[in-house]
Amino acid sequence: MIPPGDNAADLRALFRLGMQGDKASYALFLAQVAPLCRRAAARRIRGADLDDVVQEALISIHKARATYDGERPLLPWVLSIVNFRVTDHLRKHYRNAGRDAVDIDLVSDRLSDVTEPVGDSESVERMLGTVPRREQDILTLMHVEGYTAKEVGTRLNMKESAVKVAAHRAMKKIREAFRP
Amino acid sequence: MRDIDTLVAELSSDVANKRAWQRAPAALAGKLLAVLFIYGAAVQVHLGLRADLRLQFARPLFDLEILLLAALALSSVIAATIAMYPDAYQKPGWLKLPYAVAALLAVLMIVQLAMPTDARMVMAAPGMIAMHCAMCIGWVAMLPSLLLFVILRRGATVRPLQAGIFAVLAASAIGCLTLRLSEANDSLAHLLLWHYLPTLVFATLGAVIGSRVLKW
Repeated sequence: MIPPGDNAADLRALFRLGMQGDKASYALFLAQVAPLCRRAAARRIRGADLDDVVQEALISIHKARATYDGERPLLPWVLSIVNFRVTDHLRKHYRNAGRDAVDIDLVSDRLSDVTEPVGDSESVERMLGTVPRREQDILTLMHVEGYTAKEVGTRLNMKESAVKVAAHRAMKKIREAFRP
Repeated sequence: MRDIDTLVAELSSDVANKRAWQRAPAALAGKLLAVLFIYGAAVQVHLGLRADLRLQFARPLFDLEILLLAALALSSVIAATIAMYPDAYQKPGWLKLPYAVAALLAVLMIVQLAMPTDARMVMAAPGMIAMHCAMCIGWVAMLPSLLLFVILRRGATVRPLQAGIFAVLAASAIGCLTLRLSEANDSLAHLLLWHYLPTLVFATLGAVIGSRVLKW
């Protein structure tokens, strides 16, 4: 991304001429620096913002031109300004992104209230009411209280496989009962 | 926004309005240090010197502390000057110097805490209200901080936060140095709590101010 030594020396010479009042050389310098700025900025910024950042970087290079004497290497000076503008741009971007976020309080009246019961069909007790008492106990122990099939079997004096079969049948009955 | 060609044409038509700085940062730092030295001397005349200063200078740890405070002011001014250039005048190592000196000063104070008290050290009376020390450092630092911020604004720093720290650290170091030479109190707790902790707070404040006023 950094041009070879000769190009950098040319840019320095153009800059020095520009600082002596040669507008054409300075315009050429800026025109040649613009693609460098674009490449440096493109590593962190994409899309339509890239053009804006390149222009901001060129304006900053112009504003800060008194801090460059035309003697030391030019590219570190240019790239530090570009990086500064990119960081500045990203900081503003993320700050504005936070500002554009929708406050949930402002739209709460348009949202359904998820804290209230939404109807009998979702009532666990009603669902369990569709299966025999024994299967109700098995489902409650396994899916509400979190016991394993083996532990449920021990408690209800059943084999583990029998518990699994009973739980499966109960779930099937519930699904059929509430199928729309 | 405009397209790049239009912008280049606009900017190049304005190129003759500003000349490159002819002086290297060392020259600017030298001038600033001279001004700060004169200011520090004037403050010292106003505050006076502690009566036992000659005795204190016989203590190597006191000498070292004074040297480090002077080094903190010196390195902070140099770092602030370097920070005015977007590329740190391609000497980024200089920007770390004030932190290194501040760390050495902290080590010196902490090491002294573990050492037996030197009989030549003057201890303040217990319960002494020492807020005036912090306020004195703050007042002394105010004018040079302002001067440094004005000068820093003429540059194009890409490190506004750090530049703010350096400006206030340089000014506060002068406040600490002059106060240390005038106040007959060598209590380490006092120095840490009422001299160096406020300096740290001021430097933090400098970072906040720097990040706001040194934008360009």
